[in-house]
Amino acid sequence: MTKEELKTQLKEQIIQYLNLMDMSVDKFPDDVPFFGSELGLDSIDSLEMIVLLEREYGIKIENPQEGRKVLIDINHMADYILEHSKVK
Amino acid sequence: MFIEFSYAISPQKTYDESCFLDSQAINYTNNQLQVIEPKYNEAIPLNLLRRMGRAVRLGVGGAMEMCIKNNLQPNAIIFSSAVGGLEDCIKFLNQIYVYEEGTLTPTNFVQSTPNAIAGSLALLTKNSSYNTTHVNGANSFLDALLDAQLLMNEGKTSSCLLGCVEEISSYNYNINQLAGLYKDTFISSLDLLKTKSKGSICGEGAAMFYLSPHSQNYEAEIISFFTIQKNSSADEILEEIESMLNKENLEKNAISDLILGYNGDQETQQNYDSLSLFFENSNIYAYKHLTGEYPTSVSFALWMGIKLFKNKELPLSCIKKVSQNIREYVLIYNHYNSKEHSILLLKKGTRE
Repeated sequence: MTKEELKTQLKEQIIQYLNLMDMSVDKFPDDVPFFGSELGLDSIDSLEMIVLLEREYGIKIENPQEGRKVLIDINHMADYILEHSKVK
Repeated sequence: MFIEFSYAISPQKTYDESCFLDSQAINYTNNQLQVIEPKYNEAIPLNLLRRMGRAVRLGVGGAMEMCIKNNLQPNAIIFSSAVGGLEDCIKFLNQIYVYEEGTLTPTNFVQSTPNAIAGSLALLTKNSSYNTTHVNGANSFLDALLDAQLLMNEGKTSSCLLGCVEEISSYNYNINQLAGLYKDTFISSLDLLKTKSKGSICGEGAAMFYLSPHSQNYEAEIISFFTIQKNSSADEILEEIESMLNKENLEKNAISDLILGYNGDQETQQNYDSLSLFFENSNIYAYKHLTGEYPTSVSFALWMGIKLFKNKELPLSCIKKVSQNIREYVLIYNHYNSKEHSILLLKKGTRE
């Protein structure tokens, strides 16, 4: 899977996991921060995304410092998945 | 205790009173009557709405719609539900199994607890006043009403938001179906009261009331109410009701309107039939063909009683008998599965 394909899949999964009713893959930006931006995500959403990484990509984030480096935006998240995913 | 405002979300378009009262009732044919919800556009921020389970959405949405529309800021929030957001609770339990007790998200669990509704309302409106939730089967709603009354009698609040929410979940539908609470064959909901078989149809709903200990401008006054939590014969129920009327110095002919919980189950209708005969000069109404059966449906009956006082015409299918035009006192009697009985006596308010 290419990075672009992964980003599209990731957007679909985030929309589904977080039930982002007014969001679509087309409108989901690659580089806008998840938190503190117009996306309006919060700490409960970060937990949902940690669970998403574990269930969909076999990546377990146990260190909060590591989580902060991953859950920045779609680009950072996709890079981390390509580097660490156990699901082929 | 006075009811100043009321609001209901039900399988009929009750959130828009004019629409519900002026048109024909909606018919359902799948034995599960799910509510018709308003859009909640102004009531709940989209960011919170996306995370809410149905029960929380109905409760928070209903309460916010009523409060925003009438500019209300209650000094207490009291909610009630027999089972809360069971659908989310089951989702959470299933996740524990499917993901082999691995990492779980909190959303489904948080949304499934019955007190999530009152808690969400407090957070949303920054209301730090008295906040509690009663979960006691079919008596939950009147327990919450009792809590409100005690709070007001002690002078601890000058207003109270009283809410009640029940949702259909596939889990409780299946369990109750096996227990014989629902009919084995699909029927038209508007024909429910004509059926001669066992069981009822499943329903859900949310009802909100804004209460005050003193008021000059109110929809109805709650004169008396009580619950009975055991299998009781019609004679026992009548004895308790007569005792209540005696305490209030009322004759049975003072009851202008009687709302009964007829639910189409021919095996549990005796108490309703006995009351119909006893109050031979009262108008008699039924409502479960509109809402379906659920543990706290008496909250909908209370909402309907208030509409009667406002001289609103109910859908014709609600009327079982009309004897008089004067509306002064409404008596509500409902039981759930013959075990949990609710009785409420209302007096007409000052505002129509």
